[in-house]
Amino acid sequence: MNKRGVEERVILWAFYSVLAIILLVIFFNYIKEAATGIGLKNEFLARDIALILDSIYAAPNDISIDYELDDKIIEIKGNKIKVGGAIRLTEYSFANDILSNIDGIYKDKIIIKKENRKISIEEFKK
Amino acid sequence: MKKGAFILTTETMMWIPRFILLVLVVLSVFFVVSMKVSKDFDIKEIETKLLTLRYLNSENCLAYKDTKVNPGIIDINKFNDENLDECLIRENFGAKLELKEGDKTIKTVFNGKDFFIDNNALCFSDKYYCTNKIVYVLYYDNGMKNGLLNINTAMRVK
Repeated sequence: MNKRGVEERVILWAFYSVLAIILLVIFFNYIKEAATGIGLKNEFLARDIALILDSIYAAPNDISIDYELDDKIIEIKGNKIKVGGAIRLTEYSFANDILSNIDGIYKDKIIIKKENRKISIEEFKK
Repeated sequence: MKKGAFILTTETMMWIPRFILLVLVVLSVFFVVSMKVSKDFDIKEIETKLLTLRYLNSENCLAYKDTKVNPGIIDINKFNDENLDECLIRENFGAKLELKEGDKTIKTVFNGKDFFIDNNALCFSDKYYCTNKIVYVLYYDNGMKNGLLNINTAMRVK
């Protein structure tokens, strides 16, 4: 085999190895999320917050709820709640209204309020 | 040969099946593992209940307000498509609300009219969750009156 053939094989092996390693890392993280329940916790959190928001929107008067996010970070954009995982981004919808804009990225502890017909979310300041 | 041109040699072609096989193996394992570990929280029933409650309880939707908000009492001035579309916005949800007095229909309104009309016929599918609920209500139209509110909802769940 000539030198050019050997070089090509080396490049292909290197590319193949890198691809295999990348897939292995993604797969390992995916299994880890599934096995440790992180993925499930994210799913739960997204749905739980969606239900809380739907409940607050349905409240006839002013209301305030404190909510612990633990170490999670959530993003609310439009009427979608996103909870990030290393591999999978969990997303769930809630029904918003035209009066309130609660878009933002939140962490730690949040206070969800309904005041004068409007919903707002504040991060809890220690 | 032009500089930088790539020649597909026998060696390279021999590697193509290897790459395809690698991707196929990984995808198959992903698929099998996903089937085993994927868990779903089924909240469509409670979600629909909360959204239905919003129509009746929230001042932004239909609830009549005098000195205070009166949950369950409908303000006829708020009973229109525009108001409902402003108080409840969700792309995979639609509802038809029919206010009746006995057999006589007083007014019919929609929330997410296009979605409801397009998808209500597909309620037989498990991709949709649909409900039909009739509730006794009071409505304010130059005085308090008795009525029945027929609420049909359609939600796409998958």
